[in-house]
Amino acid sequence: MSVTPGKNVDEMKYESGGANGYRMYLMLCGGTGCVSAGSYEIKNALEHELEKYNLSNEVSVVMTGCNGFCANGPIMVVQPDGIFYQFLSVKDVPHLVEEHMLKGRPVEKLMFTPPDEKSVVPKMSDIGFFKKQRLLALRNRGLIDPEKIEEYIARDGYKALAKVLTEMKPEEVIQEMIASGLRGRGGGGFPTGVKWKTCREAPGEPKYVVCNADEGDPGAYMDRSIIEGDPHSVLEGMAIAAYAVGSSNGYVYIRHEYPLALERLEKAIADAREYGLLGKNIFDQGFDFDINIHCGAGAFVCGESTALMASMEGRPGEPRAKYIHTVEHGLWDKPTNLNNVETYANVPLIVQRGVKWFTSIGTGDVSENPWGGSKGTKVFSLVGKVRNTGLVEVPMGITLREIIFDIGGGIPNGKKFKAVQTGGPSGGVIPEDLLDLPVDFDQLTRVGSMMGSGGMIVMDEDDCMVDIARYFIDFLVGESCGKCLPGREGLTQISRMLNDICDGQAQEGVLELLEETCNTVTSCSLCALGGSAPNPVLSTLRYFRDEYEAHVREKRCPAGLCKNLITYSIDPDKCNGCMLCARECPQNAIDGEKKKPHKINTDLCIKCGICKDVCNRDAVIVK
Amino acid sequence: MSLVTMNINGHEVKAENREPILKSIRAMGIKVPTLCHMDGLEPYGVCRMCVVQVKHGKRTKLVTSCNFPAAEGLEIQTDTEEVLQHRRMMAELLLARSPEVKKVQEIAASLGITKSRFKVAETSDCILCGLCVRVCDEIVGASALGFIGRGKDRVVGTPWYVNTDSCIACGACTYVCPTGAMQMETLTKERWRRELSGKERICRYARMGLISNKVCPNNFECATCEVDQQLFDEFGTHPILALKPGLHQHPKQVGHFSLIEDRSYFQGHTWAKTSKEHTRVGVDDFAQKVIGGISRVAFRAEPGDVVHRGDPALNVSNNGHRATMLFPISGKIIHINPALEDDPSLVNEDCYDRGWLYTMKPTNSYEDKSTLINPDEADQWTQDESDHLFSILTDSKSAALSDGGELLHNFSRNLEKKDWERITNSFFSGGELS
Ligand SMILES: Cc1cc2nc3c(=O)[nH]c(=O)nc-3n(C[C@H](O)[C@H](O)[C@H](O)COP(=O)(O)O)c2cc1C
Ligand code: SF4
Ligand code: SF4
Ligand code: FES
Repeated sequence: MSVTPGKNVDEMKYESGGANGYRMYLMLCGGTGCVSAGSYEIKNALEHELEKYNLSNEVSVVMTGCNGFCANGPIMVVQPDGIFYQFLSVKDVPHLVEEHMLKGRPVEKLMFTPPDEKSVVPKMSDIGFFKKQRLLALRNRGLIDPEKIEEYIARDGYKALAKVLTEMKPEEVIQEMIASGLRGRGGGGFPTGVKWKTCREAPGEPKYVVCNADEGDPGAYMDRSIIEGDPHSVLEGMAIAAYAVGSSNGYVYIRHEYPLALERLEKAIADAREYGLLGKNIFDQGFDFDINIHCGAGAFVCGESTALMASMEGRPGEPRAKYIHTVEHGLWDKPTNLNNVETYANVPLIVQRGVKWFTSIGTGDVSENPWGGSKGTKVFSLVGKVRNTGLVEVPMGITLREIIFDIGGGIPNGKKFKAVQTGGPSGGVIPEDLLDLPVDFDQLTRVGSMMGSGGMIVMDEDDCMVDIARYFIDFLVGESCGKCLPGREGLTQISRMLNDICDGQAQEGVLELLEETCNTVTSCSLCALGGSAPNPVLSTLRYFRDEYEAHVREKRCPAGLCKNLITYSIDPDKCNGCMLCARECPQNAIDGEKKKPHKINTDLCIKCGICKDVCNRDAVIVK
Repeated sequence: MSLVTMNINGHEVKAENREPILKSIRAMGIKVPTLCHMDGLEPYGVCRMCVVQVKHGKRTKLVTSCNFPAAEGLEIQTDTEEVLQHRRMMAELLLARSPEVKKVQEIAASLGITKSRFKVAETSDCILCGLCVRVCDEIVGASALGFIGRGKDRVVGTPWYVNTDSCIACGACTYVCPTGAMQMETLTKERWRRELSGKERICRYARMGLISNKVCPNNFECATCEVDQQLFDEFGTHPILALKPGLHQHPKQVGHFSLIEDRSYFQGHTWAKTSKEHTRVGVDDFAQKVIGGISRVAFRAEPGDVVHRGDPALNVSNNGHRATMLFPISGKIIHINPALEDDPSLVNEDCYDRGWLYTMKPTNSYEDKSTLINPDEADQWTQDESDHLFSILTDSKSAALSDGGELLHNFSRNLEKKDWERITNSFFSGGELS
């Protein structure tokens, strides 16, 4: 089947699910998180039960992409009423189907209850986690079956491609992208339209369009989720880019640890080819474009543009030291347009809904200068010490406070917020008094962090800032390529110093040396990994220097986390001698008679913290 | 090449556009420390010692001078306090890694650093400058070395740690290693001593293609060997660095045929490549393609012979068709390529590098120069020869061209004798007969 502009795309709507006349749709989350929590088993159970009540013709079960609220999975939304169910299990299914699908009585026990509240919030759109989100890149989240191209098309998919091919010149598409102020979502925030323009104007044939789906940040899965949930949005964005820069060859560089995303991507490409949306003479407009997949098995550094291209060419995935841009000399030395998954996913929407609409979302003014602001939204992976962890898409300019407290539901267990780290492992840490910072590319950079690819890790009072810096640096030392001296030796020494500080081994003067080393690594490294790697250290030094000083001078860890710097003891006033801790201590380091205050033998204590966890009376003191 | 004007430490200088700025900086006598740079190798830009400050337009930034391209209007400062600070920091980092290495101590001392403030743990004599890996790849052409591991576990070794047969124990890596860490040559020789016997014990210089086949009488103790001494004396450096047999010059395509820019070409489709002392000669891509799958070669001269330009150099045959290729220059034969006797198809596979024929000492380089086709003219000449060839082939009744008018692979097999003779006379006779 081939698609000709306009007409058939609309016609296809009627062929696809939307008009098939089901009374009810069960949109079951098929993202990686929910799948591993058992959503396919639930799907089987649902279908079985529906069959039992003869409802199969009235109620349809649809597997969707990730909803973002992964911590509460498996998740299901019942449409059209928008009822939200969470933590589903196979044994809930018979009751649920009988009550809700048969008798029309939604099941409260499976609904969401906000922390510290008693009554449930039945509708997805009323849940705090979803309320403040603005879905552009994730526009089809939970609404379509990502494995069915018809459903993407039914939601106006591939209309933007039809529009650019039939109505716009490549230069006009580029102009539109520049005017929209769209900036790269992969980390650098480079204006997408400006990059396309350079690529179009660069001499050399053929040109390549590459999608960066390497996503090596630990804990981040924005790109995976987009590909799993709405692969065609990325393919369409790439096709538009290809038309704009004058390319007919596309590649998606995806990490091999993403089997589900890979599978859906492969299917999406095959389907798009079958529909004539990839391949030769697309929309009969004489435009050829096809996409192939390249599986990367590399380290974090392979996401860097030159390393990524080296790896695609079959060479070691290392950045190259050359003062030329990949957009002019990229893959096989040819002009190559590299964008991130989320960047491409935004493109069709901008084409469809226009610059005016897109620039109404976000910060700054990009009418004169594409660097003049941050437009549109950004997807973040919100993790750490927040109640609602998951993927969130928010408009640029939203404050950190809104993300962490309104969407994330605040800090659990009655603890106090301490800091938030944004931008992945080489981002910076932002303290409490900057919580009202509007989130955009330039503001985050200004305070010593960055947008990066959208990692966001929330920390509470129990987190030690030196330990956090140490953790990220150790990750980066292991994931860097080791090619350049500052990146390799500099980070190795920074890691040693941080470990010494945490272990109480550091000497006076270490903080100055640490700063000096960080500055050289930032300024002299070969690639942006080294150039940004010191951020976690520099930002924690900037905002939490007293914490470092306590470690170095007083050999004390204020957060009570660094094992060598703390001792465990028992508060005799609080202890009632229940003996719980003495029984649980793996070292038998706790002595004491029944009903009398206990004591910890610090020579034996390994600071595992079990006593503190088991004590009902909060009598264990860590100092 | 166009010239650009830049400013270095307040002085105007001219430089070739896009040539690394280190060259201009050094030409002014300014000292810039470098560890991973070597003339003749591709810039690598990893030691970062050569940082300088450049201002281009409004933006000032730090760049590595060994690979930053010259451009009009650059303002370069080589010794600002910031630059020196970073260099000192890097020297300290290096000193902590390789405290015993003399070269490192020297560079550090030149920046006023004698002691590192960093903890010294896990030291190594290798500074990962990559000179060995690159010399073996770019100049020797053996690619026997590579980097293994990442981050702080990065080391130099053989690819995949496999004992490699590609090492020819030339010792170029040891020769260029600034720290004495590189031991590959020794390891390979030890293996040869264990595993090779009698005639298999081929001299490393024969393996490099620098001398005729010769069996090592010295148990691979090169340092005590006369041949080794002679060659070093003759070249004034490691012989392989002077001859650069594997140096990757990328051929460029002119129609159906490729050319390499660092050669001069003889009318009879042989080439000459001149280095300081010696000239190498071989056949060009046109000849190789026209002759087709070469099954036999016979050298027409021996080491020691003195030959003239246009004298017969090599007989080749392909399936009964014969041709004689001529010397492009006059001179004394030093070596013949021993590899060709075993494997004549090297001429087809790699006519510009491994398929070379002779190394010679030129006797009349002035006259050679004026008669040979220089690289600038070679494009046009190849185009003309190509047109000429096609007109002959279109006339002929033999199946040499495809329906689309493309050359068929190994088309000469199908040529009738008459056509073949017409071709050899037209193209390989050095212009004298046609
Ligand atoms: C160490 C390092 C890792 C990176 N990893 C990624 C990644 O996983 N995904 C990504 O899209 N960009 C990554 N980038 C950024 C890319 O180099 C590149 O800027 C980006 O893909 C361009 O696309 P954009 O303009 O759409 O953001 C990384 C950069 C560095 C320095
Ligand atoms: S000795 Fe071996 S490893 Fe070293 S440059 Fe020669 S061929 Fe390469
Ligand atoms: S062995 Fe020598 S030449 Fe090779 S990387 Fe190490 S220091 Fe450099
Ligand atoms: S000499 Fe320039 S980076 Fe090493």
